[in-house]
Amino acid sequence: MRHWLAALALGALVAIPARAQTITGTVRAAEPLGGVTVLVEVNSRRLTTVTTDSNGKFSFALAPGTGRSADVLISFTREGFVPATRLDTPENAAARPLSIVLLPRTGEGAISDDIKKVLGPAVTHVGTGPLMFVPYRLPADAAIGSVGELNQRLRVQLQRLILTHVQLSLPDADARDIVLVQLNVEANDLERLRTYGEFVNALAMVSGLGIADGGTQTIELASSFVIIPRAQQFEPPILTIVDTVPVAGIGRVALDQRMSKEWGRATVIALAVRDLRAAQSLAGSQKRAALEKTQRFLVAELSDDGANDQLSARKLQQLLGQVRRELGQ
Amino acid sequence: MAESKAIESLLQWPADLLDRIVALLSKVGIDLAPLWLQLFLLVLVLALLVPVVKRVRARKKKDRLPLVAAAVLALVSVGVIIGIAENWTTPGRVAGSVAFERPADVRVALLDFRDMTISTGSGQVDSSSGRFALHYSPLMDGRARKLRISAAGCKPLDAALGRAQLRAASEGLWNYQCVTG
Repeated sequence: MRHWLAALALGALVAIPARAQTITGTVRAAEPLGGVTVLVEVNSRRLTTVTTDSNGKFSFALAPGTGRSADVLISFTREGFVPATRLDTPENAAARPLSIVLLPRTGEGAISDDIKKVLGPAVTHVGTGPLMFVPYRLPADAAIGSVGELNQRLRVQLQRLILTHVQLSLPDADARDIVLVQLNVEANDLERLRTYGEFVNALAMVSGLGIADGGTQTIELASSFVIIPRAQQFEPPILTIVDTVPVAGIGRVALDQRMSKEWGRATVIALAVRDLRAAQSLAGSQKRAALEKTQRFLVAELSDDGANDQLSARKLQQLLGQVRRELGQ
Repeated sequence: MAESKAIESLLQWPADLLDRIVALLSKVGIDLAPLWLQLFLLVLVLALLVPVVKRVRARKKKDRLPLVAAAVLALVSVGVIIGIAENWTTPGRVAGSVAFERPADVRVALLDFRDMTISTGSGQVDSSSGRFALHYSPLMDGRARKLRISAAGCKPLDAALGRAQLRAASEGLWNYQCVTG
């Protein structure tokens, strides 16, 4: 009799269909975030894709019979945010609602507390920020001696080149604005570079990376110059130079030829955007005087043959046009 | 210890031979999953074995084949069966963690001996812990040889996966640093 009962109980257990586990959660940034794509894979096979509602909530069911030790990978993506991914077992994932925080790709929210601590001492008042130099990512295996030493040489060289150019256009420029202060942070992409620059109120961010060619003892340098201040109806450019320079001559002629004028002109644009923005917040004769000063040095920069770079020349023209419109010309 | 290594290397030769045949065939444009090739070889060898055994045992001396021919065929078929059994019993899950400054950007994949991806899924890692779990079919695609770790703008890193490591199904930790170029 007992055996029959046991068999009956076992049969009943088998007959009950396995219940599908439901996984729920909320995605937030500063507030609940709607429109986040939630992609679910179980044991590396795509199960489903759902989207969070306006309250940031999502929900999906695993297939009945999904093993207890299955790998559930849930990825959360939305334009403008750093994606997040969670890997868990069905049991753990279903035990309680998941709480996911997506960091914005730009803005203060994109900077972690650790990086904020590093950037803290470099923060200046708006409109007084110097140029910032994020050390170039250079190959450690090239025959270049110490990477730190090479970065230092690059920084000094760039500072000298930019300063010389700017002083020709703006004899009364404050040299403190053109000091390249080194920021010891990792910034692999331009978006991040801009985010850091906005946080510290920099005039511009200079960074780059180097790829070594061991055979010929040269380095291919990709240098970026990101102008930080923005003004109404003017989007500052991001300038990039890719150059192959001999390792031994990294501080000499090869860089001089292109960077002195292009980076110098970019710095003039950065100063002009900053001053235009400051002038826009003034009124009456003060505003006019500030705008006329900006116009003067933009005209001076344009009268110089300048850099043979179409983008910076076009931006310079565009900026001058904006200043003239503000002056009612 | 040395004995077990010797046995392991002895058992390894069918798999190595199979890899070479698969590579050779793919060079001439025949892309076969290792399992299909193993089954094809097995059928071929077993089909040959029947007439060979008959001729080994032929009554007339001039019709007889040396015993070694049957032994070789038998060995090859045993080798193929060992290869199939080996792949069949290899776990199809490889898990571990990747230490990298931007875990959200990391992708992982399992590669076979031709450096072709054999794992399924997106290959994303947990963005808070760096943990990942990859799945593939060792029976169909053969044993995974490498773990490829990559991130946008960085040079991929290929880490070798040992047979013992795959069988133990232990979770490894890989350090990944962004090297450009």
